[in-house]
Amino acid sequence: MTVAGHTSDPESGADAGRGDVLAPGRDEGRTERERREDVEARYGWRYTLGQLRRDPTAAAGLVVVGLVTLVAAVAWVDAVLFDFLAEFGVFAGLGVEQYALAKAVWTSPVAEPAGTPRLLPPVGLENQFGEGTLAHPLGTDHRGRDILLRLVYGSRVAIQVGFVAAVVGMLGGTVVGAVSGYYGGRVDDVLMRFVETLYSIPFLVLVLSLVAVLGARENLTIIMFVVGVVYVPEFARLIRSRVFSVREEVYVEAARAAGVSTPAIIRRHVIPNSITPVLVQGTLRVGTAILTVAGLSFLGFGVNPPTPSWGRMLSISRDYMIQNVWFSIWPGLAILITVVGFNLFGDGLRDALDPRLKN
Amino acid sequence: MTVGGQPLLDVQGLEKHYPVTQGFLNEEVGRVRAVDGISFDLAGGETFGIVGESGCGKTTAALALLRLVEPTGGTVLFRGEDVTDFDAERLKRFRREAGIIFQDPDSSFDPRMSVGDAVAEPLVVQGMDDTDRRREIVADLLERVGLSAADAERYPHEFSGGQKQRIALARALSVNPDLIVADEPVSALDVSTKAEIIALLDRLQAAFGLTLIVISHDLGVVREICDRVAVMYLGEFVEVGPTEELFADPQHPYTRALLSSIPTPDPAERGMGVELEGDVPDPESPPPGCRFHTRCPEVIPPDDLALSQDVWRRVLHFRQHVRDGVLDSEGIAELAALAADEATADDLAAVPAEAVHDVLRREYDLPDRLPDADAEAVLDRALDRIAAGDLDGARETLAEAFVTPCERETPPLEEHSPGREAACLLHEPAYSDVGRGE
Repeated sequence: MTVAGHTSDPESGADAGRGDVLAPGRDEGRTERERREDVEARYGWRYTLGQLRRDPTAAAGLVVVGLVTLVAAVAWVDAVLFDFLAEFGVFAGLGVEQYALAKAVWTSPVAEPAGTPRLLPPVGLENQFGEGTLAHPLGTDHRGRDILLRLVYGSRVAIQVGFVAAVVGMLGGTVVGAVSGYYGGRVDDVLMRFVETLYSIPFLVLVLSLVAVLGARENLTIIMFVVGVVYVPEFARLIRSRVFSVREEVYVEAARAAGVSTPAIIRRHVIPNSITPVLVQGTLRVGTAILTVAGLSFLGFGVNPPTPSWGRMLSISRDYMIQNVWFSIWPGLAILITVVGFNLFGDGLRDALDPRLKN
Repeated sequence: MTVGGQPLLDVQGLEKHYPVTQGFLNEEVGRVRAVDGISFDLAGGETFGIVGESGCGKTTAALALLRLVEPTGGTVLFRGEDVTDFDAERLKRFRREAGIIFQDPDSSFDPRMSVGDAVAEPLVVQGMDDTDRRREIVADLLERVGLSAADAERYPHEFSGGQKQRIALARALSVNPDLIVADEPVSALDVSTKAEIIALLDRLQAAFGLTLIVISHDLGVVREICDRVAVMYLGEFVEVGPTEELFADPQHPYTRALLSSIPTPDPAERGMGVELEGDVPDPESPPPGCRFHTRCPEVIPPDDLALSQDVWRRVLHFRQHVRDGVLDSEGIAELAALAADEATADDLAAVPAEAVHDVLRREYDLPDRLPDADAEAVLDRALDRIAAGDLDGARETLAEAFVTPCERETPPLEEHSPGREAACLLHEPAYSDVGRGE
């Protein structure tokens, strides 16, 4: 038998019948569809985005998230991509180097400029080191580097860390939770006990011990992944509870009846239909991951100096609080605004995706 | 399609029991006999109906048949091969030989998948990688079921129930199967749509040379499209026969009861007026003997009692309620209080025996004196015991005297006239002289 057989099937009987039997169906179909034209889809990204725009706090969150991400993306290109290109043989001839963009526009965020006063206050203010100037609108740090420039480049670390950690947590959690929830029984028991064990250890303690065990004091990549792995349990539990109900849906049974394999059912039907809460939680977790890694930087785990990062800036500025308090206020504000932005966006996303919460 | 007289499908003793487990070690404490040994065969191109009340195991039978749930017993021969023995690979191939349509069109589509993708999914599974070819087939199928090719881009929520059922048909047909099981294909639809879908099913069956199994609680639907019908009760078939003959001359009391429940537009014609009393028994502990005897209006009376069928049925009801604990002292006291117009129920002991007799006879519609003297004596004794609060004693008294052969003997599903099978003791020679409904 060929699966394509029906186009060549003798269908004289069917054709004769179309006139009387199928035609009324089509007419019914049309009017029916016209009536349904007004009914909007209650999901899909277009609808969700529309809902988000109607919610002012969520819109504010979206704007903050968008701006910070954009800035971070540019900084990433300049700090990471250009560095990679400069090192990588084939592209070395292009002549790009790390911070080429920053240097072209202004100056390197890591170089210590000769002659710039240290610890200058923001423009319009004055302290023992001098008067704030428009050349350094937010002031300078303990080595005379511009704080605004350092903030911009520090956003790259924050956003990268936030996204990578959240994505690692989401991916790991989704796979573990979906498999656990779909198979149930013993598989569920084993996976969930493991996940709960991980969950029972206080967050920061777990992160610190993993980082210590892996000897990754100054390896940002490993730190991001560790934070992501520590997020796995909550994502796993979140999606598992949804999978329990989705796996009972008739369309899953229908897919089985069509011969779709279990992994494919999980991938194509179960996960897409249970992912919503994970996406919302993921957005919220970007914020907490930024906070966590900033905290780790503050404790001395994280990027190597002189790479700018908000957590490190905060940590160093501690020693200069008396001389120039603005040195610590700016990175603190940057963290605050970014984290709040992600939280507002996440909350808005949850409302937009959950019709029950609507008034 | 029948090759050398071999049926397309030959089901023997199909069984699906769900274990009821308890405790940490998942000890089995019982089993729900959802499908308890059904057998039938099906020639190619035939339409076979399975009817029965909700919860009788129709859907489980369908799922077990296609191995969407693992049967716990029996064999399903599809073109001579045993489906219950298929390995993963053969089972996947079987998935394109046999499809299913589900009851609820609203939930049988993934809301995040376009209709075109949903219809094409079985094709993808069966390894058709050519996207253009797939799109062609989907377009053709959608048109055949009365929609337009452009509908492939739309999502399930944009369609009405009837349209979705058409799409479900298209999906089932996409791999050109030989057998389609339609599980309550139209029960979620309104009347006019229902008729269209049935007509479509009929037409597609002819066009594709399909063999159909239609599962429904709606006798009208089954009568419309089925060549043969099986009537199912508590996991078993009680009657199987050609549709018209079965409808014209039902051989099993359960079938008769079902048929008489069909409303007729003629107010003068009230059917046979058979009304089933009581609930469907728990499939975890089905009644012994004939499973229908607890509700059967034609349950066979013992030889030695001269009771009319009606009275006998009521006496048996009374006995069953005493036996199953439906009647307890508190309940009887309450009935008595109700009858005496008292607001609060006393203890049963405080109710005079006379009143207990009266109230129970009234409750079970029993005459003041049973026509048979022996039966009356037994009933009287039992009522006395109940009034004295001795329900166990009453149970024994009743169980000794009021016994129907239907609970002792299990009637086999046997052919008693060409093509017609029924599982009822009334067809056994020993009981053939027992009159019907006199």
